Amino acid sequence: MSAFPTIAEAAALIAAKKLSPVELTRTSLDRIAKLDPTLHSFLLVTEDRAMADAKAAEARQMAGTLKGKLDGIPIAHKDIYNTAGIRTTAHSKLLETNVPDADGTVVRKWAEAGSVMLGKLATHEFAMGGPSFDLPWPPARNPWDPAYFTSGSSSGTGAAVAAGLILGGTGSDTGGSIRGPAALCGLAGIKPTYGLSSRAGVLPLSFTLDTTGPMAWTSEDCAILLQAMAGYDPTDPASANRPVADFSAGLGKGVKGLRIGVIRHFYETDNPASDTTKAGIEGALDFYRKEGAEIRDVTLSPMMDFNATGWLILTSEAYAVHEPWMKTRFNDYGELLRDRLALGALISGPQYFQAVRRRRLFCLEVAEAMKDLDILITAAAPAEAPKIDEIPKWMMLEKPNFTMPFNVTGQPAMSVCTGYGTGGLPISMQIIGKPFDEATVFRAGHAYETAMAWRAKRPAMSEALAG
Amino acid sequence: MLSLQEFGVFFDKAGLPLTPEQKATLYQGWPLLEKMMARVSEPPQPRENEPSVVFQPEVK
Repeated sequence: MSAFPTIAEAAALIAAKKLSPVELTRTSLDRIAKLDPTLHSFLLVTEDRAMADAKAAEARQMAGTLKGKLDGIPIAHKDIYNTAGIRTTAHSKLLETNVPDADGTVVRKWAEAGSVMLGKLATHEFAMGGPSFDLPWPPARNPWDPAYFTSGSSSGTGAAVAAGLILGGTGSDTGGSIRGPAALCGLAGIKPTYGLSSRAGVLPLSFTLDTTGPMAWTSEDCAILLQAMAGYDPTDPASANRPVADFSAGLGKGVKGLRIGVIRHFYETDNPASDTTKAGIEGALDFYRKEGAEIRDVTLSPMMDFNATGWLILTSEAYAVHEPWMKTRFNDYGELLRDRLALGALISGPQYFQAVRRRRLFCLEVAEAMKDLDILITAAAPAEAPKIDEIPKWMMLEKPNFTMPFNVTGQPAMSVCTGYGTGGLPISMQIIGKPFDEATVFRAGHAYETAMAWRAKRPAMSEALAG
Repeated sequence: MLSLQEFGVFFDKAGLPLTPEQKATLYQGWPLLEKMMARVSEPPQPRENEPSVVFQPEVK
C-alpha cells in the first residue's frame, strides 16, 4: 500500500478488509504530532473523537456493514464549519471560545457517511483575512516549503491534505478560497455550483457568493467527498432543490469528444502567469488534444471586470455581516481582515446593486461562450506560491485573481495540479464546468491526473516521515 | 479623489472607531477599490437590466 493512499484507494482496501481504519487514523494522528508543529494546519486536534470514529468504522468493517467510500476515512473541517460541542473559531479572537451546539449540514453528512473527524483546520480569519500573524493562532504553512504561502482562505485544509495528515477536508470558496490553496499546495479542490452543497452551519462571509466544497489529493477523491456533501437542504435558503448527479459517473471514460474552451487572455495578458504555469497548462491541453478532445480559444470580458463585480459584492456583504463587531470590537480583529472589511463601509447601496446587476450579464456572457463547449480551462493561480511574509494587504484589489470570475457566475470550477515549477512548488490549472455539471469537470481532471506519473510525489517532509 | 480628511469623515459617519493612523492605512487601499467601483458603474447598464442572485432560473 502507498504511504499516502487516496480516498478511493483507502476505501477499496477498507472494503477488502486489508486496511484498518484504526491504523489509518493512528498514522494520521502520528503525522500531525510530528509535522503540524511546523505546518500549523490544525487549530484543534480531536484525537478522542477521531479514535472513537475509527473504532466505530472498524466495527462496521468487521460486520460487513460499511456505509460507503468515506467510511473510516480521516478528514477534518475548516474552522468555519460548526461542530457540535467542538470549538469553532474562524481563526479569530472574536470566536476564541465559541462552541456550537449543532453540526453544520455538511459536517453532519460526512459524519453520517462514516468519516473519521480529526479536528478543526486553520483558515484565514473569517475566511478573508490572511495570512495573519496577529491572531491567537499562527497561519498555516505550505508543506512543500514552510517559508511559503498556502494561499487561502482554506489554508489549513490545503496544507494538511498535501502533507498527508488527512485524506480530505472541507473548504469554502467565496472568491477562490478552495481553489487558491489547492493550487499552491498541489492538490485538487472544487468550488461546486452555488447552491449544490449546503452552507447551513458554516460561518458566512458573503451570502450570494459563498460555497462549500471539498479538497483532496485527486479529482476522484473530490468527487467522492462532494457526493457526500451535495443535495437540497431546506435550512439553506440558497440550496438548489434538484436531483444530485453521480459525480463519479464519467471517471475513466476519457476525454474523447470533449469540447474545451481555453481562456488564454486571462493568464497571458489580464494577469500574466509565470512561464512554468503557462507551460503546465499547455502540457495539459496537449494531453487533452492527443486524447481526442476538441480545443479552441474563448474570449471573455477582461478578468478585472469580473473581479471588480465580485469584490464589490463580497466586500459589501462581508461588511454587513461584521458591521456590529466592526463598530464595537474593531481592534479584536486581525489587521488584515479589519482593514479589508472596513472599506466595505464606503461602498454605497447603489454601487453594490450595480455589481449585482452586472453579475447577471457575466452569467449570460459565459453561458453564451459555453453553448457549444463542455468545459473551460484557464489558470488557477499566476505562479508558484510566494513567500508567506510577502503577501500585500490589498493583493485582491491590485491584480485580478483567476478564481473570482466563477464565483461571480456561480459555475463549478476546480483547481488541478499540473506539476512543479522552477522553485519546486506546485503549479496548476483551473477547469470550469457548466452549472451543476461537476461530473464533466471531474471527468476531465481525473483523465489528466491519472496520466501524470508525478502525481505520486509528496512534500519532502512527508516522504521523509513515511520512510 | 477624496482627501484623507474627507475619507476619514466617511468612517466617522459609519460609526467605526478608527485612529488617524488606521484611517491613513485604509486610505492607501481606497484608490484600488475606487477603480473597481468605476469598472462596475461604467458603461451604464440598460434600465431594464435585472440583478442576479440565482444562477439557474428554474432552481426553486
